[in-house]
Amino acid sequence: MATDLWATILGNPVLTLAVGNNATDRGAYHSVDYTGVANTFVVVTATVRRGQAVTWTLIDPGGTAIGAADPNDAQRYRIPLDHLGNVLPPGQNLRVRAQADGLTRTVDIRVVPVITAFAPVPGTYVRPTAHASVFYSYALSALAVSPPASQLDALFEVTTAPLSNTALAHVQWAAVDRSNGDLPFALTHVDASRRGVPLDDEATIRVTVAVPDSGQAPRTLALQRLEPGLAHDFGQGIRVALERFTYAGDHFRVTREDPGNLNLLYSSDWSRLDAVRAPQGYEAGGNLRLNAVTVRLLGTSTVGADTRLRLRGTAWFRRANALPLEVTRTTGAWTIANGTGPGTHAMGDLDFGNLPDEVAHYDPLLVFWEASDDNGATWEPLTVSDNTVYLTAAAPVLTTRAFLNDLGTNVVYTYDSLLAISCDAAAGIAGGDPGAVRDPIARAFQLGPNGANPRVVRLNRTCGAPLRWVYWRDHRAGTSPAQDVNANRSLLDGGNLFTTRTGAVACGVWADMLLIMWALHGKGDGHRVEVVPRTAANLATGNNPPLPVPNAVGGHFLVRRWSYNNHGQLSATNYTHAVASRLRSAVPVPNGGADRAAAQTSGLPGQNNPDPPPSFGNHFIVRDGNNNLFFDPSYGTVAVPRDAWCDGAIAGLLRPNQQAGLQAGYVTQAMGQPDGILANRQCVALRDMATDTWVP
Amino acid sequence: MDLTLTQVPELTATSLRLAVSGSGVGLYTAELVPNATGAFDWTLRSRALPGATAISPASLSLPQSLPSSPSWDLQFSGDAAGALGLTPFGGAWSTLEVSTFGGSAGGSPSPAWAYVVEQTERCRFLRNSAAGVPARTVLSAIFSGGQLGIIGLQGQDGTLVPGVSGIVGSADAPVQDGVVWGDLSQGLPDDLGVIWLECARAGAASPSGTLPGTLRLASFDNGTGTLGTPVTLFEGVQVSELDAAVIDTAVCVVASTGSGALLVGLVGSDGTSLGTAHLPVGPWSNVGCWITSPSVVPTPGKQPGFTLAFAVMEDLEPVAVYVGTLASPQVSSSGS
Repeated sequence: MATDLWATILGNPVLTLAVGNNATDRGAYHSVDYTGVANTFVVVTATVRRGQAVTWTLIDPGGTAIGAADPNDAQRYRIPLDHLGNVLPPGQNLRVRAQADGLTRTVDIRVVPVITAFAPVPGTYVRPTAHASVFYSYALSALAVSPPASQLDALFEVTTAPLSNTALAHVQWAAVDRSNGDLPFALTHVDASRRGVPLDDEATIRVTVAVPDSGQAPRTLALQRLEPGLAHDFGQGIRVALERFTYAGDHFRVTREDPGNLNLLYSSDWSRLDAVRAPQGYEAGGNLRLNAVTVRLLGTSTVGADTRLRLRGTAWFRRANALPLEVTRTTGAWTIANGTGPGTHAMGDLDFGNLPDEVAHYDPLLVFWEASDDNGATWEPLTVSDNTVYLTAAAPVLTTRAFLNDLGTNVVYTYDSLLAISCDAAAGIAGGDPGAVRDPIARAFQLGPNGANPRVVRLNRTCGAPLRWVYWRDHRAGTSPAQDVNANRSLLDGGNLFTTRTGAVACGVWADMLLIMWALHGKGDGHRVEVVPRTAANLATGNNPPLPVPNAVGGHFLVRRWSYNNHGQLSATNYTHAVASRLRSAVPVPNGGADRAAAQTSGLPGQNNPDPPPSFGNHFIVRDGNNNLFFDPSYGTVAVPRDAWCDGAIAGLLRPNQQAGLQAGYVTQAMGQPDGILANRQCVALRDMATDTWVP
Repeated sequence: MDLTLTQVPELTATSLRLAVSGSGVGLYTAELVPNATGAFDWTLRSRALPGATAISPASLSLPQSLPSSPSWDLQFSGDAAGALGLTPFGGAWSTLEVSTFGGSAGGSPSPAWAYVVEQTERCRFLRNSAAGVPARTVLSAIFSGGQLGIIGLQGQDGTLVPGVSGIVGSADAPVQDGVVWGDLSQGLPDDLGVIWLECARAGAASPSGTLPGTLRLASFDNGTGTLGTPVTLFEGVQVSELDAAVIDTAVCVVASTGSGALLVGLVGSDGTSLGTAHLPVGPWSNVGCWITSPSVVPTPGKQPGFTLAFAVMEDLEPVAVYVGTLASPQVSSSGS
């Protein structure tokens, strides 16, 4: 109890407030650190004349704060320092009002959070150094990572007490570039507790966090973004480099696509002298081993005592909707005696356990390698390995098409570009169920406006810039498309998928691409299906051929969309309308006059081509096993029944006629359908090439 | 071997064929050109060889719906008349169409028959080891992407339909190209000879973008469908394209090697060497150049020998056409 005796004697009203000395007088307010400890308070004490009662009020703009008069002393008001709601947003104060003896006094209190931790976020490419507040990563722009290094952040996280967004908002972040005169450095704002340092340029960034008005000193960490080097010099002749290692475990090798090494397999090895980092393949959830880790001593040891050298690797496994999983493994020790000269030494195998059990495309898988010359007490950065790694839903299998299978490995050719496309398309799909990737992979072929599909790209990893594949690119100018994935076809005839210079690709290649991609993920039951006009000549093979449709002879089928005039003359069983040319028209054919049909500029776009040929003599699509589900990768169609595919794709039949030029037909009027027509679904026949049977 | 080669003035091509018409040898080149209707005109043009006039017909044209140059071959049966085989692309695969030209068909090819149910490539009329016009029209081709076979019309249920006999190759061991020959003076005999190209399935591509391979030769009994024991031709030489012509038992092979060089070789019909294979050097050997579309026919006349031709490319640009003759004492004519 605080009593002003002099005022009591004089009979003068008095009311003064004092804030406990655990708070700091900031002028307009007092600040006090949050403690999080029960029964800790900041106390406001009122001094009054003897016998005067004090009425306390806590004014809180947010309504979350609590406080109360001391039950043992009504002239003391206590604000708990373990109540989350007493930490108000930055700039706001609790106001304690006391009323006594006809007087009113207030005092403003600011409870500020305290920083309890400040550290790098695991899984964000940050490793410790021998100095507790210094970490390192790499300038990853030197490694051509995807997404680009400017979008890959080393993250730092601050933890406060209390831990709330309101409390975290008190934290002030600052960063300077130590390599550039301590100029301010812009951190990436991730969320309330995290900021990022992009891993692009080589520089040292110092990051500081502080809470204003707190009794705590700022905390500082430094991140060294190193140039990816190859060696570390421990002194005394012990300069070491990572020489090589071999990808092993549940691993498969990737097929090369470059003309100098077509269909050969990339090496399983990483070597410091590699000109090209070989991509590697794994099953999702499979075991990753880096075997035969070999170090090279580049000098001659002059150490007085034996040095026990160890290596360790930290792998960063990217995951869908989560930060990378960080896994570190350490080799055994190599005892280097005085006088040990240059040479290599096998440090053993490293088992990194199981990879994440989901389809992924690590572009690349980064492994930070470190060396220790004190048997693992302290570590120094050595180098970073950066191989692309694909995680498929299951181990690759054979396809139903012999040409697509590698006789050497007895599974489908594991083409680099097709692994990239399929793993991107199915990224995050759980491993172990090849059927689960059927539609996600097929959706890699779905088209954007005007047929745009940026996903279908040949990587050209070792032979130039990436090339986007296009369905019948520049066909009107006479460009021949590639007709096969890997057949021995001259460039003068369009080459194949991996040799084409133009990127022009015909339907069989698109169909085979899907078959391959499925098989890469363990789904080998895709069937290639041919589509032909249902004529007697076209039905002269296969088991149980259907009857031809009446009057159909040779020629092509039409690909939507085509406009027919004079719908009264349409027939589902005959050619009815003359075709002036195969050029597309922007307007429907007007009614009246001769019966005519014309391809429309609003026709079905193909892969990266809004204007593919409007008719074909034959076509390849894909069937899911023996199911009535069809996929047309040329046009991006995914999982539709036969009739739906026909309705969406076919606009009739076309025949050359010596007298009348081209004639179109086999459609009926169908209002509500594109161009008001629907093709006779039986005017084309589908033959399943895997079973050599006609599809009903 | 006495080999002479001459450039055809002011002529370039990516696809050509020599053909014997009566007592003359003609050279045809193919081109595919967009037309005003959104389709394409595929045209063969007769070219004059040095010191000679072009044979007739001057041109043969067939419309194509899609811009893919078909493989083709032509065979004369009389003055300016004969048969044309080609493999037009339907969008998914190539079919085989055989047309006739000249005679009652006039100057334009007239469709004779077609084989549309299977991928068919690299069609070539069977080479006649005897002199004169073959008594029957039979072609060889690569079917289903890997099997060399022969195809001709045969009776079935009272009508003539295309019938295929497979010779060598499969999806697991594909054949890239092949030439089949026999004494066709009385029709299609049982005793045939075959040269085929077995290509690698992995490795470094030739300048044309194809994986080169090995030439093999064997006999083939068409009556039993039995292939004889193959022998390898030109051991150690990788080949990417070939053609062959036969006079009696002498087989002249003209090929493009894996590096795009010209190979001219003479072997017996059993594969025995009739002299060292030539890798002639000339302007077609310049850096960046490679040859394509090799073609060879027996030279008609009393002096036995062969006429050959090939196109020269620089990257993907045609730069020249060469023709030449090969005379050899090892070649004995059966009377041409």
